Amino acid sequence: MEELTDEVLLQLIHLGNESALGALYDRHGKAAYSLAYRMLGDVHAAEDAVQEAFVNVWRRAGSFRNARGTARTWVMAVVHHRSIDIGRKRRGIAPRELPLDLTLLPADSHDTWSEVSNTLDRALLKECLEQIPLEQREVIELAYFQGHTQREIAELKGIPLGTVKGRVRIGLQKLRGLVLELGLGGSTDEP
Amino acid sequence: MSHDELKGLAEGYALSALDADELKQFEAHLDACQECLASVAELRLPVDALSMMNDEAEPAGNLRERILASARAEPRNQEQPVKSAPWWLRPVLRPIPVAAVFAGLVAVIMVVAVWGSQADGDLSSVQRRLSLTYDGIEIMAQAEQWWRFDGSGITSGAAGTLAYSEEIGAACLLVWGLAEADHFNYQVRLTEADGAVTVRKMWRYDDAMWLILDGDPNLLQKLEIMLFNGETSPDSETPPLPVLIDIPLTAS
Ligand SMILES: [Zn+2]
Repeated sequence: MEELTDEVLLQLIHLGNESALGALYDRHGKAAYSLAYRMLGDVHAAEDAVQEAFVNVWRRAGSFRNARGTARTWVMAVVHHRSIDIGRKRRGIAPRELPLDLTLLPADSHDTWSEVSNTLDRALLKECLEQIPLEQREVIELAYFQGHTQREIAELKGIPLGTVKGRVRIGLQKLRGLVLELGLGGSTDEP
Repeated sequence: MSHDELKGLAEGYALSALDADELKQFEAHLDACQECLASVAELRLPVDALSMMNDEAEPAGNLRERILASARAEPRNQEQPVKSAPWWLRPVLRPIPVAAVFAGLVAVIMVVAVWGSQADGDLSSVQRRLSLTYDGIEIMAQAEQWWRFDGSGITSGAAGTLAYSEEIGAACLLVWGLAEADHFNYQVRLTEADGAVTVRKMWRYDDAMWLILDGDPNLLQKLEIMLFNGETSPDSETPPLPVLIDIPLTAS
C-alpha cells in the first residue's frame, strides 16, 4: 500500500479496510505519538490519545472530503484534539469545546507544502519556532501544546486578552514565513 | 461582534484555542466569509509545522495492534451524518444527463465486481483498482461537465463518457460495452496545450475500463485511446499505435 496516497487510504478506511488503517498508522503513527507525548508527557496518556484519534479516523474517514495533500493535517488535528481532551481531564480542568468538523477547514493554499513537510527535518522546524521572540513563542506553546484557550492564557499570565491575541498573530505570521523559507526555498508567493 | 473582532479569532481557531462562544461565532462566520476562510487556510501551514516539530518518541510496539483491535470492535456504517448530502444522493438532486446515471451505474457494478474478485486477484492491486473506482464515482457524482463519445473504434456498441468535476479537480474517463473476452488493454494518450504528451494505461474490468485524469480536460489539446503497447513512456521505441478513439473535447 506504500504507493497509495493518504487520501486514497482514507477512502479505503471508510470502506472498512483494516490494512489501510494500519498503513495510515505506519505512515503517521510516530509523528502522532510524538505530538501526543509532547503535549501529555506521559507514555500511557499519549498512547491513549493516539489510539482514540486513529479510531476516530476509522469512524469518520468518510466525512473527510478535502483536496489532496491534507489528510496528514487532518490526522494530526484529530490527535491534537484528543490530546487536549485527555490532558485537560488529567489536570482536572474543565473539558473544552473544539471545532467539530475538521473537514470544514479549507485546504492549505500551498499544495507543495504537504509533500515538502514530510521530508523536513524536525530539528530545523524547531529552530524556526526558536527564532520567534520568547513572548510570542510562549503564548503559541501554551495554546497549542498545553491546550489552553487564549482567554485562559491571558488569566494565567495576567495580561490582557488582546495582547495574547496580538502575540499569537504576529508569532504565527513569523513562523509561517520562516517555515516557508525553509521548505520552499525562500519563495512565499501564493501559487 | 464586529468583523475586525471576528477576524482576530482566526489564529485562535487555527490553534484550537477559542472559547466555546467564540468558536461558535467564528464557525458560523466562516460559512459566509471568504476572507476569514483564506486566513484560516494560510494558518494551516504554521500549525501543521507545530504538529511536526516534536522530538521523535517511539510508541509501544503493540499500539498498532491495539488500534486495529478497537477499530475491529467498532460498529460499521454508523457514521455521524455529514453536513452535505452524501455523494450517492447528489445526482438525484439536480438534473444530469442520462449518460451520467448510466455511467454511475456501470461504475457501481464494477465496484461490486471488483470486491467479488478479491479472492483470486492480487489484493493490493484489487484495492488500488477499487479505490480508483471509488474516486471515479465521486468525480461522476460531482461532475459539472460531461462529454459523451462513440466507442465503435474499439468495438461496435461501445460507448464512453468523460466527466469532469471542477471541485475535485479531476476527470473520470469511462468506456463500456467492450468485448468481454478480448482481454486487451488500452491506453490513453494525453496531449497538453504545449504539445507535451503523456501516456497512461487504463484500468480494465470485464467489459469496461476507466481512468482518473488529474486536472481540467478542457486544457488538453487531444485525448486519444489506443491499444496498450506495454510502454507507458511516450518516447518509447515502439512504433506509434493507431488511434481507436479520438475523444472530442468540445463539452456537450
Ligand atoms: Zn470574516
